Amino acid sequence: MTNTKQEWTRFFIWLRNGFCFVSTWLLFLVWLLCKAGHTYMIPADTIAAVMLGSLGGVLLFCAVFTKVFIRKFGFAVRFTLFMALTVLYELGFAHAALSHLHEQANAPMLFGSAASSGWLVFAGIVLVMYGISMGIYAVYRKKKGALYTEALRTYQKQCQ
Amino acid sequence: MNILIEEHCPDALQVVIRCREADAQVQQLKAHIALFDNRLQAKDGDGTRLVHTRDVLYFESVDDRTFLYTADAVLEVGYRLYELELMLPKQDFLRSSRSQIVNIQRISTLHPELNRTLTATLCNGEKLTISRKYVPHLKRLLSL
Repeated sequence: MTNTKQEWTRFFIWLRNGFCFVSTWLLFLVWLLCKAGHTYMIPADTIAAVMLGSLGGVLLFCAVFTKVFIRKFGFAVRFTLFMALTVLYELGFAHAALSHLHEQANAPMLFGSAASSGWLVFAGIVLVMYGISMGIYAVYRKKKGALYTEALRTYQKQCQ
Repeated sequence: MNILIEEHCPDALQVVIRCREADAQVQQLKAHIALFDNRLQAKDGDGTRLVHTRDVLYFESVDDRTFLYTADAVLEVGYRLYELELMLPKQDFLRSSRSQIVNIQRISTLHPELNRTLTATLCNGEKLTISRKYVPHLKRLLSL
């Protein structure tokens, strides 16, 4: 059972790292395309800053996540950190994109009078996603607790 | 110190300590011999009594003193936690935090917490926290 678990864990680590690797190169290629003039609505400089930022972030994630974060922090801390960083990233990206689109109007979608409902929707989505994820984790912990208790009882029987 | 073994005695196994005075060293020796039979010498108010290790729920160190908790009593023992860790049967007792050793046989449920610790509910309903540092050891013990 332990071997199977270790194999699954290794599989997911490789899957995650592979996904990060592919995403990083995808972002890099998108940035190259934008630089080459194939932009749709965002200027290449903005893309360059955002994409290079995410490139650095993803590389950092690949390099230190397993070794540092998983060992030092529990799921709740890691997930909260992830959500906070994602929100910051999304805000930065949205700000950069929408500021460019509405340069003349001083980005009404972000700072205008109609922006409050948009921000509420954004905050709502983030909070609901956070709540659902923590709920799923609570169910997972409950199941894990049952598994641990079962293993404990087996051990107690073996020792008697 | 002379150690004598007398064979062919009609009585059950008996250990007699003959000494000039029952000082601390002799008391320690007595406690060690008692532990051979899985019993610990513990202070109960003014007197002492022998407690079988299977009756112990957990040991706790508080202000440089070590206490053992049974279902109905709290008694003081004359050992440090690290000494108990060496003396107690390893398959039955687990260091659960810096200040506690828990009797695995007396845990009824385990529940993982958000901060990667485990909450162990003992057979009397008391809850103990198994700190992150000692969780991997418990998992190895339970083949998880």
